[in-house]
Amino acid sequence: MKRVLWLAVAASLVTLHVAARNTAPLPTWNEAERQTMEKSGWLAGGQILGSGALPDSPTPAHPLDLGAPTAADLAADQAPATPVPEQFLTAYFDARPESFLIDPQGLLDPHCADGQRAFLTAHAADSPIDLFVYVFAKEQEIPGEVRGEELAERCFATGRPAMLVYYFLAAPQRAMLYVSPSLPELISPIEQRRALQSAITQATEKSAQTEQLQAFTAEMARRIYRMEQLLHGISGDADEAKAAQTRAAKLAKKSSSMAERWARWRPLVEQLAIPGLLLGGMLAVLLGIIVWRRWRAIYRFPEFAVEPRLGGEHAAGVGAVISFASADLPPASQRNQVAEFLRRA
Amino acid sequence: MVMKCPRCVQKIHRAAAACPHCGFTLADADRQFGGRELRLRCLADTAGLLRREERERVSAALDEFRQRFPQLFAAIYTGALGEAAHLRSFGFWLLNRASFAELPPETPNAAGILLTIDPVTKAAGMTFGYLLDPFLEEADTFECLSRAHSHWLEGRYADGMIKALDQLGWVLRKRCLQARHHPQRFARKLLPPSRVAAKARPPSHAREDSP
Repeated sequence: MKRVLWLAVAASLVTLHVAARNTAPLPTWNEAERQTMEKSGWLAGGQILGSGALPDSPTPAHPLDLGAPTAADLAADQAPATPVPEQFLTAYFDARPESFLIDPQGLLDPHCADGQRAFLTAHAADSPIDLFVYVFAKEQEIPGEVRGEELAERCFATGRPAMLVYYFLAAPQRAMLYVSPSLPELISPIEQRRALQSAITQATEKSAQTEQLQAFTAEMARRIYRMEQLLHGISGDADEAKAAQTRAAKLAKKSSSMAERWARWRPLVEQLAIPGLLLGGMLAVLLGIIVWRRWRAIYRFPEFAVEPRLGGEHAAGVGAVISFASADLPPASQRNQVAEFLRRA
Repeated sequence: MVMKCPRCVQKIHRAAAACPHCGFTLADADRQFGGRELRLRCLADTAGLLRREERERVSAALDEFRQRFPQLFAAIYTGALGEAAHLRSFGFWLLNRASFAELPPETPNAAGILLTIDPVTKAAGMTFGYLLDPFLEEADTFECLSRAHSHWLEGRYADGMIKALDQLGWVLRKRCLQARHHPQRFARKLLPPSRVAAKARPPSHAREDSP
């Protein structure tokens, strides 16, 4: 097998060598043609094969001075152009909204708005954490005097815990998340950020703005569910740990109290152990004797003078007679109390 | 206590020389079963119902009964007697006419309890002597036979006999303790009230002895 391989390798090398020897030589320029072509300004293969360089590209006499981009230039694409109209501020930020979808501007078409509202209501029915979505237009800006944290504290301090999302249509990356005051203790800011980022990612994968909003809210609901699971797990572990601690404390207390009791009673027990054992043994023996005597007891009856009957010197006591012919009838039913002569008849 | 005629099973008064209803006496039984004196063992398995080891078990139970109740003895007779109703008169006759081999001579048949089993007619009966007249009722003997009933139904005669003896011992122990505390109650069953005090022996007679 090895020989075959070696032969194959050798044959390959020989073939390559022969092929190299049979290769045609590279073409060369005729000097006259070369000069003609050089005069025209371009020589084919000149940059690779020849030594001649291409003519330099013309450089502008006065290069443009654009200057470094400013922060404003960089943020130009993201900067909202218009603030939220003042007439809607009250509807947005005045009080805790009654609906989970807050769209006083009517930016969503009614069908989409109804669907989202139903979804958020269903989420609220399933989850202890409500999700409120404030809908704004893409280029709209939240007024400076409205702070999300303040809104959450003012309107969501009481009642069910809630998460508030400022959602900008067609710009899900601008979404902002706020939570009611009771939640930060339970859900870390990192977890909140992750949830928001995940929802934004899901939304940006969609193209239509309604689909983006649906994807966003769906992902937020999923994330809230995961947070609930985490919270339950933590509380469950905490409860279990607490219960274990309580049990351990009780056990320790019990064992310590038992030890204390034993220490208190030990001298007395040691004093009374032998007499107690002796007394117990004696009682057991006495009980055994009583039982044995009772078991082996002999019974004697008082004797009464009985006058003989029916000519019998010793006995005329007629007891019961039963038949055991039938297994279906009880003994009482098979008791024979029929006179002898009646049976014969 | 209700005394009955072994033949017609009617009530008779104490000391009746003959049954006022059918006129039955021991002489009638002698005519029916033979007037000769019989000598039997306490366990007379004339029907051959018991194997050897079963006979030993039943004999041991009879011995234990005698040890527990030294005044008394129990005897068992198995044999084909014909009609089931003959059991009463046969038991009456046998307990009056037979002498039992294992018993000391001073033991009267009046202290005996006879269990009769007829395997042909599948019937069993109990008869007892005068000594037990105040202490045993017909219902007591029925209880004893009932304990054995299920065993006899299956043909396990030895087990049934031992069960019947156990129940008899339990009943007699109870009656003995009752008689120890209230002998008048049992004496009253036999004698007119005016004669109870005179006839009954002192209560110290009803005692429980240790072996």
